[in-house]
Amino acid sequence: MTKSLSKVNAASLKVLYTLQLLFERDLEMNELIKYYELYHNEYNSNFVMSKYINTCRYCGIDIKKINNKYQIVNFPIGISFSENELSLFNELKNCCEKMKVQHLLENMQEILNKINRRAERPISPVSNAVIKDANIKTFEKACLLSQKVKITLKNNESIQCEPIEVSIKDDEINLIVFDGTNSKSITPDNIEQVRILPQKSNNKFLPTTVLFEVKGKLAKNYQLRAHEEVMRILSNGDLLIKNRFEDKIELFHRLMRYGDNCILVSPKLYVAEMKEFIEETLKNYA
Amino acid sequence: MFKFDEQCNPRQISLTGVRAIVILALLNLKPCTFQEIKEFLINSNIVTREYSIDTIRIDLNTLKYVGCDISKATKKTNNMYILRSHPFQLTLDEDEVEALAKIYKNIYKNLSIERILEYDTLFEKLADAIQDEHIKEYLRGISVLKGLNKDLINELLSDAYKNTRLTIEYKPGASKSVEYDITVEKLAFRSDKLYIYCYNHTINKRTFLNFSRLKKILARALRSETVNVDDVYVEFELKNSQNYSLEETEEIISKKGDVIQVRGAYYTDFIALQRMLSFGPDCIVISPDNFKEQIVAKLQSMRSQYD
Repeated sequence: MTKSLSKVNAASLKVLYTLQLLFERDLEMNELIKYYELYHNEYNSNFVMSKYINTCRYCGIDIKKINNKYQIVNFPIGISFSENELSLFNELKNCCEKMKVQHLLENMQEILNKINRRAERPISPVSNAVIKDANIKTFEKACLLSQKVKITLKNNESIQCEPIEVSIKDDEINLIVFDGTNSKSITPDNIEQVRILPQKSNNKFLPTTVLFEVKGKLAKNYQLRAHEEVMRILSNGDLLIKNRFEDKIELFHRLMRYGDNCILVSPKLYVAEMKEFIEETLKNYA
Repeated sequence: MFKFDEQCNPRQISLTGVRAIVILALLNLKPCTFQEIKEFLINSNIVTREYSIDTIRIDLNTLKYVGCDISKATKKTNNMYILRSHPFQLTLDEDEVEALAKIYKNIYKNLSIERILEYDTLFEKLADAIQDEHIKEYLRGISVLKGLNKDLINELLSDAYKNTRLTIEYKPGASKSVEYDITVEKLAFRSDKLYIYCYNHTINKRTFLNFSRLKKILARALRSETVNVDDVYVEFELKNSQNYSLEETEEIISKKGDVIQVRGAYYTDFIALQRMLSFGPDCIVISPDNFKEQIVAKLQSMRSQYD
């Protein structure tokens, strides 16, 4: 705001201020008047504010009164989205609904609110039903608060543990917990209830560090995963990879895929188990 | 251009307010000269012929006052007013972009390259529209095609569609570049990398080449040439089948409890081999016999590494 007020048009300015307020959030008339007074130190009556809203409407800005709040439904100035682009947002929304993670759902809804203002045909809101997956919601909350949880399974077993994270992979959700000894992955479908306990998490969870070597062609093309890093490049170009957090069984299956281009180096227990894993597979052909 | 809502009672609108919004909308479409703005306002019955350069300055000052960044109309700008940014632009915060990235990463593997290209364009468009440099960068980093030559991807897609035979320069790792004669069959992601699935006439077999190692296309044959190479078919038994998701090219032949018998079609025997090994002890290859032998040899070699 570098220009002095004397060189601006007061009426235009008020219309633009009103538009700015509604651009920020949906407001009832009395809230609009209150915010206007708060930010711009000027009281406007209902009639005057309605005039400013109508001015915006005249310019094609679709402002509707929904649940008593003025809401910009369509804002034709600036970026707009084609039908095909909207189908991409719709695809993301559908995928997000399957993922059932509350903060993703909430953020997706925020994005849709912004996109819909610039769309001829708005995308339907994120389904409420999926947000109500109470167990995942409670677990996410416990992760944020660093509180321990008690998870009661459908077979009536229960586990008191520290929540680590909600893991999402290929549309599958798993709740990762630390039971004091190991990390475990629990499918929400097997859970009856998640309850937050008053005890704080000790944050003693230390993921196992796994080292493995990738060789030859694989070393040249190896794509590091999340939570992986190259520890060392060996003289022949082979790589020593450090991996943390990956579920042990999943890691074993992945390393098996690499065949003899990969060898697990540590920890010792994992090496022994991997050897056993290969031997078990070989027994199928004995 | 936007449409005026003629339904609004003209006595309940502020004409000067309309002027400001219209100028903002006009400049948002393209840089305009004073004359172009004036003509549009006159044609829309918003101002009369008396609308002067001094009045537009006041209108522009009003827009600048609320946060619009508008250049002066000078010789340098071809006497045009240029709107660089305004406070009604699309904004996305870091959490929202992070959510977009997470959701996208979760679905891109199931999408065609054409669709992934559409997402790439969408993220670029969002980045262009957003002011915040940090968010711009974040958005530009989401696409799995980041840093790849999209024109070349489109060319290869077209080549795959037309079965065009190509001569390419390919650089496998640190070794010297080689020339290959290939017919592209498809482009697809494997382990987060883009690969060209092709019939390689130079080595007379199907192969998949890392797209980022393709240096250039040296020649394109004028005639199209269909390559008829069969997939590798493998039949296998899978225990604890509930723990695995089958791929599109795999079908269940029979089922007994949680043990299923599957017939899979794979692009190369290498891909088939990797797939079978990934199941670990839960998988027994039934046929073909030569493939079964390959599996056993591979497993023996793997075991020997731990002796």
